[in-house]
Amino acid sequence: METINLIIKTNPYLLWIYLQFIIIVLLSIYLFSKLHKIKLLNNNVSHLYRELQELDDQAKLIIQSDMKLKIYQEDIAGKLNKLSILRTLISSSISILDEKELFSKIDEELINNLGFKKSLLIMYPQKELELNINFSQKEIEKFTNILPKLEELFDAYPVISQKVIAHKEEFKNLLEFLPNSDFLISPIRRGKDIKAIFLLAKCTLPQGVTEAEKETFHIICMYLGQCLDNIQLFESLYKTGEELEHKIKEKTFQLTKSLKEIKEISKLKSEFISGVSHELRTPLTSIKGFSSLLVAEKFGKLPEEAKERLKKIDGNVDKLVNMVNTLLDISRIESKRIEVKITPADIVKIIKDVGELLTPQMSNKNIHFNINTPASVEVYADKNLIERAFINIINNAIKFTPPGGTITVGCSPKDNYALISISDTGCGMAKHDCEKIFQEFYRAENALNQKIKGTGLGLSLVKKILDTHGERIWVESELNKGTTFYFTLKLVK
Amino acid sequence: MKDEIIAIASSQINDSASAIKEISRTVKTYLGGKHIYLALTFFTPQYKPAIIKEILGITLKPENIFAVQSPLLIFKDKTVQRGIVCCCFVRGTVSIKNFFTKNADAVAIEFIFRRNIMPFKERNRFLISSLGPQINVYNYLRGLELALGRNFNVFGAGFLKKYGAKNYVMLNNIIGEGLGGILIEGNFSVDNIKLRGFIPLGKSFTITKIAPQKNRIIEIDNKPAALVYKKYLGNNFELFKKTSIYSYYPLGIKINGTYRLINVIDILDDDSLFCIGDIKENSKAHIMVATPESLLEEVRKTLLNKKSFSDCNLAIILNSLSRRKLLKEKADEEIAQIARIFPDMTKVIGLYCNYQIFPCDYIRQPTIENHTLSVILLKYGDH
Repeated sequence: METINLIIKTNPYLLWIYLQFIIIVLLSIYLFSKLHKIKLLNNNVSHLYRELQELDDQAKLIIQSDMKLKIYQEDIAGKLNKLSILRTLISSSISILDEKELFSKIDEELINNLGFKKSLLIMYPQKELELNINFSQKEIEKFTNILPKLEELFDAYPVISQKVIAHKEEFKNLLEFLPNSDFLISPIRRGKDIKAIFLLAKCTLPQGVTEAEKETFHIICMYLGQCLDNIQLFESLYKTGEELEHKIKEKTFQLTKSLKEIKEISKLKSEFISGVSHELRTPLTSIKGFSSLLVAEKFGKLPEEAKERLKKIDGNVDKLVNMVNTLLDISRIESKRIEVKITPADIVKIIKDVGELLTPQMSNKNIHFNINTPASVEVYADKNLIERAFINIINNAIKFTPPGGTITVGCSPKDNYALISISDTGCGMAKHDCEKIFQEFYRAENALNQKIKGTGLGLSLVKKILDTHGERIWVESELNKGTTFYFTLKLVK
Repeated sequence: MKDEIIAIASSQINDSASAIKEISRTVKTYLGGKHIYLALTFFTPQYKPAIIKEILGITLKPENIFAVQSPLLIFKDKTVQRGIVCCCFVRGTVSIKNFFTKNADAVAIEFIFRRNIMPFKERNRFLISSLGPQINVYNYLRGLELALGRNFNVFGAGFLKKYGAKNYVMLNNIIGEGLGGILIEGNFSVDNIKLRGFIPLGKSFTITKIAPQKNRIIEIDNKPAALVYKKYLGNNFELFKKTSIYSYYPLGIKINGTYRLINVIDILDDDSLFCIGDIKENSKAHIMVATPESLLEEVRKTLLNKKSFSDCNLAIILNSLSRRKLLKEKADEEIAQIARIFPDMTKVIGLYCNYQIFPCDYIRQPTIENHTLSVILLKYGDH
């Protein structure tokens, strides 16, 4: 310091130089710091610019993905809209069974919703106009003239669009007819035949006619074709139904007539049988009386041979009387001349009585008779007729049961009826016989049957008796094992 | 019933005459035998305007009918896909001037306004109009500006051509397609809110060149305008053009912190963007995107902060069809959310359109927007 003071004192000019030096140093420091700041700021600016660029790049990505998303959404919305159009059309026309009414569903609103401004629907081949939206008469005529040419194309292209015929010289007319207009043409087929031709023109959609429009239009045309098929099917079914109904009416009339005739014949038959039987019974009674007396040798002793023959006559007269009586009963029941008195009756008692009555016959053949019933079962029945039914069935069983066999009569009360069964251990019968056994004069075909004689009227009478009671009778049988007859009678509550 | 001056009614009966009869019965229940001055009617395309006019004339006998056809309507808290909505004003509450033209340039429109609207000098007034597909909206706004100046309450619903369907407007005895509207004056105040909910994406760009009609952007950042979409969509640009899903990505022009939404209608062969509305050169813009959630969130936020809902008598909602397309199944939820905020006394009606016109809060002149839900709030009295 002392040295500096000395220098300043000795040389003041040096002081001035010293100060200048200090200022220069300070300015240099300041400049340096400023330069450093500028550098930093520049760095910041370039950093910000980079960030801005990055943001801009991100914006690009955002816009691009947003656009794709929106296009997808638009596409889906478009497809949903088309589905909605189809749904509306289908729901409004699915049950239509008239051609005119079906085509009336194709209206301006539908065409506009499909994205078109003009439309034609022409019946083919008659070329009748079914629908016209915004086409002039002249345009319709032009289109009608090119229809036969179009028909050739439909086999190859189910839907014709502008693209399909753009380079085909023969369709120059069509392109002139629909200049600068996206259009769609498709046939509506019933089966394989073209029934109508449908044209959509002047597409108003921003993206024009795309595959989606073509597909939708194709579906609509196919659906209309299906509807036409249904209408035709319905018409033919209706026609067939009407014919069938007519035939049924005719047949019913014929059957009613035949039934009436049959009833008439049956009535005549019953009357005839009744008359004949009645007429036969009087002389038969007389014959029976005399034959019995003769067999009993009331008119004197007879030679053994004559007696034997008279016995046979007496036996056959018995059979004849039985048969006549049965026939009389059947005819009486059929003609409802017999008075049926249905009253409460103990079926077990009836079974026992019949059993006792037939004990001699069963004893003769050494047949065991079992009664398998509760102590008493009250049913509604005409006691005499049911007794007769039992006699006939058990008699039958006796006939076809070999000696030593068993006949079992059962009765089991069910809900509101009693189920009665008569089983034997006889020869049984075939299934086809079971179905016919209750017919008059029917006899099952078996060897035993040929030996055992019968009229074929007993079971028929049984059936008629149970019919008059409003009950059921059926038979179950197995060859060589036995037969069981079942019938029902209402229980007394 | 005694104090009612406005009544709203709707019907969804398929037959036009029966629907109007049902509406008339409801209106008479509210207004009794009061003379009806104006029947403001919105109807969907299934209904016949001539029948609406005839039956309204017999049943309600309004002095004036202004009816607008729209693809979708709004009544109370619901969207009406097929129906008629009617709002009736009792005589003495408002007075109107009306206009109708089929197609006109800015000068003709200015003439119509000068002749019909200008003599109307009341302060509380607003213009409500319907613009058919053939109307050049720029001409309309230019004509309006020439006749009425910039600072004017103009509301409008614009429709674009779709499937060749007609967009009818009915003004008393006139039924046709074109530009129709009414200027309503009376003892009321008018307010409006706009609900957007779009988010800007990527770097901002400058619209450097527009066509003289102001509805076509030729260049952005001194390059063909479509390149801005090409830049962001890359290989997907062709698909974007093919599927015409421009409405999902509108341009947002930044004005005082909010974005005015401009819909691109078409990308032309010269790569210019055909839009609805007047676009100014040197505007800064962004590509905008939205999700149903962002749109609903905007509705929620805006409704929370807006106090003018509480005492308004009538709310007319002008909603955007493109907005509905974006919201999909949540579109009805948006309407319900808005309707819920109003007290019982407020009548809510509305319609959907392709674009709307309403006064801009910042630049003090009518602007055109798409994707925006705007609500006109009418408060009666106090003026």
